[in-house]
Amino acid sequence: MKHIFNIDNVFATILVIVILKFFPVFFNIDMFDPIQNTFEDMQITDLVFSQVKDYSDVGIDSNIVIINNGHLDRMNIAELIYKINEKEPKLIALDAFFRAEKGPEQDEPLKDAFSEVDNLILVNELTDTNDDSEFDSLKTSNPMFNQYAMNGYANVYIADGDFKTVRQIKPFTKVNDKIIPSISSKVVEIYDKDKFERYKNRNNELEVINYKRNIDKYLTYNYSEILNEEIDYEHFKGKIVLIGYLGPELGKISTEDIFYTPMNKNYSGKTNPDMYGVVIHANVISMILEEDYIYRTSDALAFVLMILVVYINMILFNYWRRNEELLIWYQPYTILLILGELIGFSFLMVLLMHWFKIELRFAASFFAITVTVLSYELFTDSLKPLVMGYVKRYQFNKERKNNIKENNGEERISNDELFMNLENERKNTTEDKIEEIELENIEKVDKIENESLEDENIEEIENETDEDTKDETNKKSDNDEDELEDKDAK
Amino acid sequence: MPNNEYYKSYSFKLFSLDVLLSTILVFVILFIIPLFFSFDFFKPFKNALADFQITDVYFSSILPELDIEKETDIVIVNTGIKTLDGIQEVSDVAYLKLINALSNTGASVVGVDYDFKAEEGSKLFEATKTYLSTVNLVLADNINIAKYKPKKEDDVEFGYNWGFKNILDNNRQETNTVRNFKPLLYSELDTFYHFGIKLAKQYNPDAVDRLFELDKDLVRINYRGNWDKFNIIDIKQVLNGDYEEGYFDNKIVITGVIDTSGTSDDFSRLYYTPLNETTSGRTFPDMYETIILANIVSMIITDDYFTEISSIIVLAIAFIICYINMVLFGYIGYKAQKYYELLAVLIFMIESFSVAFLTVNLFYTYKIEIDLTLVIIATALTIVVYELYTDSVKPFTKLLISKFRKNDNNELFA
Repeated sequence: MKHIFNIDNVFATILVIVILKFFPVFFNIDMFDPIQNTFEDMQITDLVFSQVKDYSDVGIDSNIVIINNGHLDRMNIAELIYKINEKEPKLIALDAFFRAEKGPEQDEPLKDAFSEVDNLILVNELTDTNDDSEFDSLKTSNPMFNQYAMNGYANVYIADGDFKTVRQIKPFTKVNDKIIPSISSKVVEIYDKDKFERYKNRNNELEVINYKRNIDKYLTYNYSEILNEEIDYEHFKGKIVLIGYLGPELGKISTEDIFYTPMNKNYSGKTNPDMYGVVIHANVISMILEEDYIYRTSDALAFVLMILVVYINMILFNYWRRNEELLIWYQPYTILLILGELIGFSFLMVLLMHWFKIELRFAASFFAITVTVLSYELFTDSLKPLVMGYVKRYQFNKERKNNIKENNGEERISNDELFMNLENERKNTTEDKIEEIELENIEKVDKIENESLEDENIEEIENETDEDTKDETNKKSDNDEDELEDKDAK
Repeated sequence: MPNNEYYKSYSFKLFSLDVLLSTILVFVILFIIPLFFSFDFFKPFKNALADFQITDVYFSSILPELDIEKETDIVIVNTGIKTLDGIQEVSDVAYLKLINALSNTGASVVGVDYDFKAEEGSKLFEATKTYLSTVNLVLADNINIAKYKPKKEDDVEFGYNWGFKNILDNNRQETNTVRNFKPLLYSELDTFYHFGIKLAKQYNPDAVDRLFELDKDLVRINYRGNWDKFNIIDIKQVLNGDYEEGYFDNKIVITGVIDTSGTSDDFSRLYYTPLNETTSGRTFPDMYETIILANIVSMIITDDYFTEISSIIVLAIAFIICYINMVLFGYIGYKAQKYYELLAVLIFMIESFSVAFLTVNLFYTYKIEIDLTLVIIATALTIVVYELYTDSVKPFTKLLISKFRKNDNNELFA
C-alpha cells in the first residue's frame, strides 16, 4: 500500500507533465527539425488504413460519380455540364472556382449551363484574413455563376504540423455568426436529408474520415470520355456527380489539389501524395451515406489515461526499487515495461480503430511513458535529496540562529552538536542498514557451512564473505568519512 | 539509478573492465535495435529514419541565407511548355530546331535531357541521328542498371556522345533524398559516364581528372541552389533569337523541363533534395532533374567537393565518447550520487547539441561530411546502459558466478 499512495509517485508524475510541457523547446532548434518532422507526421492509427485494412472487400460506391475536369476552359466545362445534366443526376457539385470574368465567349455558355441544373453546388473557400487562426471570410465564385448554385466550402482540415495529411473534416464552420456547411455536408443534405440530420446531430466539431476508397473504388471518368460520349451514362441518373481535378489525366499524380491521407502505403517519411481533394470529399460523402463513422475519445479521457499509466509506472518503479530482492531486476524491468507499454498501447490503438472504429487518442502519451523512468529517477535520486538537503540546511541555520538568540549572542550548543542532532535520525538508519547486511551475510555463511562437507571449502567461502563484509565495513567507514567531511564543511 | 549502496563501488575508473564492458554493451544494443524494425510493417518508418541526415540542415536552412552567386558558366534551356494538361515537353521536331539553333550560339557544349521518340527508319529518326552527331552535344539517357553489372576498369576513355543520368544513390528508394551521384558505371564490356561528367569533360577536362583522382564510387552533391541559382532561358526565346549576344558563349548549355511558375506538374519529373524546406517527413519534392544535373556539373567544374569521413572514424568517435561517458557517470555516481540523474541528462543534452552543431559546422565551414547520427544515438544509450550494467548486469553476473562456484564446490566434495 505504501508503494501505491506515495507522495514521491505524485511528484514524479508531476515532473513528467513538466517535462512534457517544456521538452518540445528542445526540438525548436533547427538541427532537430528532422526528428520532430518524422514523428509529427506519423499517427499510429494511420497503420490501420495504410497496412492493416484489406480494401479488396470494399465495393464501388455507386452513389457517387467523379469526373476529372483537368484544366478545361469554361466553354468546355459548360459542355460537360450539359452532357451530364441530360442524364438527370440528383445533383452536380463542382470542386472548382470561377472567380474572374473571362469574357462572354467563355462566361456565357457556363452561366447558361449552370442555369439548367436543378441542384448545383459550387464550392466556396474559408479564409483567414487577419492570421488569427479563425476563418473570418468566405470567397465564392463570381456572382454571375454563383447565383444558380448552393455552396459548401472545399477547405480540408489539416491539423498543425500535418503537412497536407488530411485525417479529419470539419462538417460546419461558423463564419461571422453564420454556419457554413462543407461541400460534403451540403451534398448529403440534398441527397439524403435523414442521414444528413443524423450526421449533424452527432455535433462533432471534427469528424475523423473513415477512408475506404481511392479513385479505383468510385465510378471515375476523364472529361474527354464525357465530351466524346464514350461511356454509358445510365448510372448517372439520380446520383451525386462530383467534378474536380484528378490530374492532367486519370492515374497521374500532379502537384495540384492533392493530399496525403492515412491510406498512403508509406505511412511515414517522404513519399508522393495519394489522393486528390475531390476524392477526399467523396470519401466523406460515402462515410455519411453509409453512416460508418469513427468515434474519437475525448482529450480529457486521453489525459486521465496518460496520468493513470504514468502513475502506475511510478508505483511499479517504487516497488521494484524498495524491494531488495527485485532491486537487481529494476533496470531490465523498467526497460521491458516501457517497451511493453509502447507496443501494447500501439496494438490497442490499432485494434480499437480496426475492429471498433474507435480512435483512442493516446499517441501523445507515448512520450510521457518514455520519460517516466527518467522522471522517477530524476526526482527520487536527485531532486528530492537535493531539496531535502536544502531544507535540512535551512533548519540547521534556523536552529543556530535561535540558539544564538536564546543565549544572548553566545552559542551554547556547538555547530557540531546541532548538526549531529539533525543528522542523528538518518545516521541511525544507515547504521541499522549496515548491521542488517552484516547479519544477512552471517546467515549466508551459516547456510553454506551447513551445506558444505569439507572444512577447506568452508574456509574459502568464509574468506569470500569476509571480503564482502570488509567491503561493506569500508563503505561504512567511507560514508562516515564523507559525513565527517560534510560536517566539517558545515 | 537505484540508490543501492550494496552494489556501488568506484569501479568505473579510466582504465577498467567495467567501463570497457559497459561501452561494448552500448554497441551490442545499437546492433540489436535495427533488428526490431526489420519487419515489413516498420519499413516505411525505417526508411523515414534512414533518409534523415543532420547535414541536410545546412542545405535547407543555412544555404538559403548565404549570398551564393548564380552559376554563370551554365545556361539552362527550359523545354517545358504550359498547356491545359500542365507542363508538357516540346516535340522531337521542336527539339531538333532547338539543337540547330544552339549549334550556332558559340556554346562550349550542349547537354540534351530529352528522350527522342522518332521511330527507327522514319525521316525524323534519320534527321535526329544527324543532329545528334554534333561534336559538342551530349545526350542524357537512363540506362538499365540491372543490365550493366559494375566491374572496375582502369581504362577511362571518352568518345560516346551520351551519358547516363540515372539518380543512383546507394539503396535509394524512389522518394529518398538525392544526396549523391555515381560518376561511373561499369559493365563487363564498357565504362559508362555520368551525363554531368561528359559535359564537364568537354568544358574542363582537368576538373574531371581531379574528380577521378578522388577515386570515389559515390560523390556527395554540393548543391549550389535550386533554379534561382542558374541562368534559365525559355525554348521560345532561343528559337526566336530573343537573347543577348554572347549569352551562350563558352557556356555549358543544358536543356530540360523545368517550371518556375508554380504551375502544377507531374511528380515523376521532381525529386527530393536536401534543399527541401522540410528536411524529413511529409513534403513535396523540390527539384527538377535538370537542375540536379546542373548542380552536379557546377560542382565538378568548380572543384567544390565535400571530404567524406569514413564510417570507421565515426565508429571510433562514438566508442570514445561512450567510453568517456561511462567514466564520467561512474565518477559522478560514486562521488555525487545526488547529482547523477541531473548531470547525466545534462551531459547527454550538451553532447548531442555539440555533436549536431559540430556536424553542421564542419559541413558548412570546412566541407567535411561526417555523419555523427550514430554518436548521438550511442550517447543517449550510455545513460541506460550504464545503469543497466551497474545495477543489473554486473550484480547478476556476480551472483551467477558465485552460484556456479558453489555448485562446483558441492560437486567436487560430494
